[in-house]
Amino acid sequence: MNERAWQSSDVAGLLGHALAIEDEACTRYRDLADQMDVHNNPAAARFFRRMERLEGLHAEKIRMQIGAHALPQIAPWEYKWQDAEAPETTDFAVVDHMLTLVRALQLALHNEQRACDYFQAIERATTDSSVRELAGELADDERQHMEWLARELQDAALHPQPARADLDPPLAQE
Amino acid sequence: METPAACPAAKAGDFKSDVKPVWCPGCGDYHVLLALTKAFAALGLRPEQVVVVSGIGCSSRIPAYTNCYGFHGIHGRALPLATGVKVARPDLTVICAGGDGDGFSIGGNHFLHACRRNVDITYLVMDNEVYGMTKGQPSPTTDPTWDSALSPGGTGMSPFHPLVIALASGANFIARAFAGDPNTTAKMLADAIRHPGFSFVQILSPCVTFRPDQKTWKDRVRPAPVLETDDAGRAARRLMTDDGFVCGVLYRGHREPYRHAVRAGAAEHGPDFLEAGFRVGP
Repeated sequence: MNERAWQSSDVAGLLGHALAIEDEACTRYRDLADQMDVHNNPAAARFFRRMERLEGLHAEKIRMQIGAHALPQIAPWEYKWQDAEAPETTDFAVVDHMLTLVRALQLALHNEQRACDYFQAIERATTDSSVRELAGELADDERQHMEWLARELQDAALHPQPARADLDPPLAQE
Repeated sequence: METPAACPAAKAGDFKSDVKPVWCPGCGDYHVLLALTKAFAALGLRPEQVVVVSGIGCSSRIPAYTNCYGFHGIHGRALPLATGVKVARPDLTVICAGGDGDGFSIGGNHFLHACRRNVDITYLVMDNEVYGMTKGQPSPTTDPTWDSALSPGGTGMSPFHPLVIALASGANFIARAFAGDPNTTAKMLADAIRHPGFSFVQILSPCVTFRPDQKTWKDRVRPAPVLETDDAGRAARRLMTDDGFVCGVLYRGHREPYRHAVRAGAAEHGPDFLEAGFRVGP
């Protein structure tokens, strides 16, 4: 990760970014769960709903930490992410209607890893001790989520779902 | 537009309806919906201040997925509908949305004249170079060599260049965005909405079902290497020579937008006059 990507050095700025990461992840998991519902993929839908709840709880925790801090007003395009979107947000483009639970778990684990990397990079780069401490805490949270997801992934791999048949595949007009 | 003082600022999620989109998972249009709602929120708009008008096609479902006023019109006729809404209600923010088939083929003629009229609306086209809803026919922007069951060996026809056409026809703001970068797209849409007159934003929005080859677009798109211009001649040269993957605001003009209410004689031929003509009975 490019450590120069982070340019804000204050606690309020970091909390604002941390909240945006969780809020965007929560919204995206909800959208993905809706997609899987619409396309009759209940296992993936259930998993994304679970992730939506977890990210919502994490966002609430960050809101509590924000407390009296006045967060900066940041337009969506002014957040400083390494990629096009916040690090815990699944790219819409990487899912499909046949998504398996194992693949969904892998995507979620990848998201947590990116978020952890993001906070660790700030922890390393900052010269402000309050920012360093907060970034370390946030990275620890993400690490715990990674450990949980890694266990879930192991379980899922031990109990693979039977392959689903695509009963209504998209067909180009002939 | 001012946000009413009594109303809290709307968030992006406040602009989304409870209707679950039926787009294919992986479709670029999800990102466009997100970008649009983020742009509305960043501009301080409220859902009741916005109208989203569309024609027919996958992307034209978008009004149903927003909480704004919406009009899901008939094929290719979104721009005349949006023009009518804006002329009758200039206080509203009017967004016209659709796809490349709806906008450039069935609605191609309306596109030319909407650019020319320069009414203050924003037209966003989710361009995937294919008719997705009807299962994969070539559209006006399809590469001439794209081989499909319906166009063996490709159509062999020169593709439509929407940005060049928009410039030549008088659009006041021209931009290209990539759906996979929704935050940058949101900024472009916000800029387009803010800019007076007819704003046109082509959004490259991959169709993962009928054009899986478009997954490579994310590696081809790149920001414009030069600053935006208000010089139509310079913009024309750039647009004519780019490869279709340069993103950014590519032209920002200064034409006075069409203002129905201030035109001489408009008052006696305005909406009240027209409505009176349709009234029946005493």
